[in-house]
Amino acid sequence: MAEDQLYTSATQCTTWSFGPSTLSTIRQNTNAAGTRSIRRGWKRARVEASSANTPAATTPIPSHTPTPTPTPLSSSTAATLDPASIPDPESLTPSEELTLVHYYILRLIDMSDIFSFPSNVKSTACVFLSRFHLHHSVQSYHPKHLIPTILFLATKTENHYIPLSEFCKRIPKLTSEAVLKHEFTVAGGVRWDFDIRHPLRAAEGGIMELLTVLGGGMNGSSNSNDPGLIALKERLAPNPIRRVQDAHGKMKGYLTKEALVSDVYYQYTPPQIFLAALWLADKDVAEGYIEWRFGENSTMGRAAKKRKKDKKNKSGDDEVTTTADEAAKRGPALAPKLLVLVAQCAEMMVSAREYEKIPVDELKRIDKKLHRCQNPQKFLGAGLTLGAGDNGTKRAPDDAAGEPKDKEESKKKRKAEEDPFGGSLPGRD
Amino acid sequence: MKPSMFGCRRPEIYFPQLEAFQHNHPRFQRHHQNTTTTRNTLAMSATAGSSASSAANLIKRTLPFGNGHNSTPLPENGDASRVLKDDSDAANPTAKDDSDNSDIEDPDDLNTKTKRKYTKDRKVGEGAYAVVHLGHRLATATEPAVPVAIKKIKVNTEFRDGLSMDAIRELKYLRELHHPNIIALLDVFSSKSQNLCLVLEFLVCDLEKIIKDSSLTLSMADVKSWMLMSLRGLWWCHKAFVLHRDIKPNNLLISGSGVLKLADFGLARSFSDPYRPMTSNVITRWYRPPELFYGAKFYSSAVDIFSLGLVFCELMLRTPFLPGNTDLHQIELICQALGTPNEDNWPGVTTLPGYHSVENGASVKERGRDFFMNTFIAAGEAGVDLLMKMIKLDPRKRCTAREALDAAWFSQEPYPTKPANLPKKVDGKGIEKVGSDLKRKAGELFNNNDETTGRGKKVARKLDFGGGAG
Repeated sequence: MAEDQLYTSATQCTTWSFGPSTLSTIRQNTNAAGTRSIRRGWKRARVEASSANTPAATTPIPSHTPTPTPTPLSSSTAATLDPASIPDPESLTPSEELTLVHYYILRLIDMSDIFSFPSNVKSTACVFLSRFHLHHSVQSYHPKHLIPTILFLATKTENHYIPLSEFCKRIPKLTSEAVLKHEFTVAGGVRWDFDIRHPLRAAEGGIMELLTVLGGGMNGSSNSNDPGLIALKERLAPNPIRRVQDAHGKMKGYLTKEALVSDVYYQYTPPQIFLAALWLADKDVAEGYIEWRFGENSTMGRAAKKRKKDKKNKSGDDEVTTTADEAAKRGPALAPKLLVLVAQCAEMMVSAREYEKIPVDELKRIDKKLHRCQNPQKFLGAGLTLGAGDNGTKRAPDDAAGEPKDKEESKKKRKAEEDPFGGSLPGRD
Repeated sequence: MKPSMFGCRRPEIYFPQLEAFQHNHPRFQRHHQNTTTTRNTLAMSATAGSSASSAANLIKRTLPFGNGHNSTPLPENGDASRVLKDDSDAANPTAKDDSDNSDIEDPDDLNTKTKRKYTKDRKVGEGAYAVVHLGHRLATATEPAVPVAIKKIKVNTEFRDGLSMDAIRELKYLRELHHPNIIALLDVFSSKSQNLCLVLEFLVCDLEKIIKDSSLTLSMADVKSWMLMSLRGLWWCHKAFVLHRDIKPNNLLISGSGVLKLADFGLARSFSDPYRPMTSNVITRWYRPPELFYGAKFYSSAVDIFSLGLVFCELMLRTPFLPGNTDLHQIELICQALGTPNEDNWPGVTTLPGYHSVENGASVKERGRDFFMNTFIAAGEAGVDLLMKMIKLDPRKRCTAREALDAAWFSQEPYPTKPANLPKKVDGKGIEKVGSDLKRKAGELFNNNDETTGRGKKVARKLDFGGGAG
């Protein structure tokens, strides 16, 4: 058995690992599918709108859509214009979708912090959202409706269940129906793969190992003549323990933010992400650690010895050990190779910061676009709200009643009505 | 979690090759025909984590793991859903325009596709928690029909917060654990009424049924074979950092070809997260280890080993070794049979939150070899050695699954029986029994309708969902 078969047989590796080009292809396809579904929605809405206009309003309406209940206002206004003359909305681009997803991942992090959930719950929720939207366009499912469900599902999959009633109490205006409504959508949307391999365990194990050897822990005597370890200690002088402890805190920050907002979970293995976060936190600690464990001086004997110990401790660091074991088999060239990778991964994580800096105006612009895509009834006078996972559920065409979500939203809505396309509807509202 | 930091950026595709390797590699093939020979072979098979029944392989190969997991091998640059879409578009040229049912990115549609692959034949069990149907995967142009068990988990019976924790745990772990001695989860879909359906490998019988059937004679070679297969499955769970937490004979299911598989992961959880406490209210009482009765919040794979050790006893005695009526009675039985835990035989035991000391007179010394040799003479010296290591009072002294697999007992004569030659239930009742095993709520020993026998109450305490400890 290959040492890493456990990871290579995990769903994270088999179904959720992609290189950058595949990742962008998938996103393009998802975007295209979302665009198609918006077109279909608009087409349906047009049919409905024109049937509502003509005297022969009894024309069959697509069977699965509940009978539209146009308000007198909308039908009368719609009667004055030809729905066919209104152009299809401009759809979102893949990069706009991604921007929105990452924005909502940041919101998800905030929401998790309201509850002070442990990092694994937070991280799982973020990965769920990212994975869900890898295959489901934002145009079909608006992330804002999904994030409470996703966070609640993550508490359950990470064994940190809290009763839904308590969960809802902490978030204003959240109802348990709203959370449960999307649960199957989300669970099926992440393909029922609830087990997310986070770098967190590797991180805790690695830090434990560093603190143990630097503190001259239990096997201090056998390590004292390990040249790699001596080099590591020198590099982190004068207070190696303190250095590692400081790095630990900073590293956790990277793991619970930058790592989640970027694509590193798709492209790197958990230990690589851990090392990259450590590298960002303290270059010397990470490089010294890698040199010690995988450099020229790392000895084969150590790996074997270490392994036995691990069996007893069950501390999380034995993935590191087994890799060291493999390194022994394949020769000592691992450290330089690993360092390059770690640097690349770190770079990707840092680039995620861009998403925090995206101006609010840009987000508003995208959301406005999305709003138009998803609400043909508003612009055509008939049809249903699309997306947001509301398929099949009827929503009153009078969207003011349909989206009481929060003030910000209604503000956005008002703004959306002022946009050039919305404004072209004479007599609207 | 044991990923490699090795090899650079992940390759875009991993796994078709891997699968092919497992199915075709001569080492595995050879091993099928020769399960029982030298110690080395056994150890290797354990480590290889593959092999065993070719039937299992057949199922694995022909029954894709749902949602493009391994049926639709990942295309060179794209993913499974992409393939699906292309297919549907090709099949239905109008799809692109407005046909509503071509909305491939709709998960309901993927779900429908999965659902359509199976048909339910007949109901074989129903409980408060789940309904089990015998069914089969419909034959396709290239693949024959394959029998499956469809476990429909009822939503919202007691638990009003959506998907139940048992269902989530079972899904989470069975999606990840692939091993010939672990029940295979073939697919997942949701029914119209938002019930979750798990499509599981079809298994005909369970170990409890075999133990209880007095018409069957179980030889030591048979016991050895079942122990070997259970340990292999357990080894893989533990290697993947998963605790089963409900090992008992009726969770050890037997396939048509005689291969034993661990089932029911409703209480499973991952372990060895530093500083994270776990609940001690797990494992059916008769198989629960002493540290859990003492309220240990940090425990390890040794709990499963203890349970399996008691199953080992039960296989030889043909009756449960420690059938306690209450939790207190259970500790009493453990103390009498194995010895009273104290600081000498289990350093630190007195610091466990639920520990109670016994009066000096009642204290029993930890049983030595002689006691076990007397009771389990049939196992022979090597067998007793293994048993003693599995049911040590002190969890740190118990062997790991890997060490157990290396035990001399397995490489001594009589060699383990080949799965196909193991004693089987011949009447048709096994299927009903498996149906009721699958539908049981995790942690229950018996089904409600067994309460007439007076044993229904001896169930594991309910999990405490409150503290995030589960």
